[in-house]
Amino acid sequence: MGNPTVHLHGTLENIVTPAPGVAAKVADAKVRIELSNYGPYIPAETGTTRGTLAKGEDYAAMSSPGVFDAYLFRNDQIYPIGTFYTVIVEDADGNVIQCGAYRFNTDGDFDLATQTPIDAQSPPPPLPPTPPYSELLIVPDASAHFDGSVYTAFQCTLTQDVTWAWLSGFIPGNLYTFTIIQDAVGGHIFQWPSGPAPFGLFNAGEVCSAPNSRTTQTFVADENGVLYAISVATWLL
Amino acid sequence: MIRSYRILYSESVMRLDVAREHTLKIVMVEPVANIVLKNVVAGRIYVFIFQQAETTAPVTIFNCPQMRNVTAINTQRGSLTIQTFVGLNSGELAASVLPTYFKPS
Repeated sequence: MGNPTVHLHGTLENIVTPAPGVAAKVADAKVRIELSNYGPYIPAETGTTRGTLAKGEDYAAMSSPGVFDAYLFRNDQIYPIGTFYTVIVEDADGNVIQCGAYRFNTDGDFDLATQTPIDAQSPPPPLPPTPPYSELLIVPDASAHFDGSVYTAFQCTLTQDVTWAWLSGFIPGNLYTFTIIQDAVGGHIFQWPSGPAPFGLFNAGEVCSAPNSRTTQTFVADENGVLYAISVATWLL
Repeated sequence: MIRSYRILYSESVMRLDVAREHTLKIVMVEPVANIVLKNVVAGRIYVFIFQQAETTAPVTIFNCPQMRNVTAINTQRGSLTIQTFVGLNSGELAASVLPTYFKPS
């Protein structure tokens, strides 16, 4: 993981606008900076181990009363896209006296007093596709494609070995059920899908080889569409 | 229809309103002394993914009196425990299957 390349600093007297008749207690104020708008993902520096950024709520270091310094990652280098920083100034009693949203897409030193806040209410990114709760019948040859953006259940009758199957489009949070049926001959091999990263599938059970048997197993899609079995497989002979 | 998906970080006391939740991933960064669940929908299938953090010590304290029949979560660093529940009329969650575990290599 790289080092943060945005140095955000400021003098609170230059930033805080107290309400009329209220003396801003900036000398005792604190600055809290929170990464925002990362939605249902663990924010991470792009291309690094996931989950390495995350929690905000850290108070920026006050180098002297009323003067703060913070080191941040560029927003354009954070996954998912569209994040910004919420800069919150709290007085000594914990009351929020100023708040703004900022995005930094270049390296450098930035005085908060000279930065223009962004509109944090800009439209959110589009929603992911919505697969119906319906079963897709797949007729495999030696390979089979399971598209999780289309259906949430898949049924596949084996008439030959399926040695190459792959996954795509799985939506985090959804449950996906696979039913693998052996034909009257039985004994066909089914290699559970192991698509190109990040579409992996883990803790898959063994597919029953008895003629006319049905093997069913359900998975939950985690981040990046990775599937984890929620239980062992069941078999109907 | 789509199931919601949300990632949370564990805290000592967590108050979760699950009226609009389906799948919750909890990254275990702090011991969980108590989880309080609100607005459990009876009959709904809830999936919890408990992920031990890679960079901090595994969390071994996890307590949620409203989760019934829960088997212990995996305490290996970086491991995942997937536990499925069904919502009950009592506002509790009952584990509907045994959990599954996964430890990335």
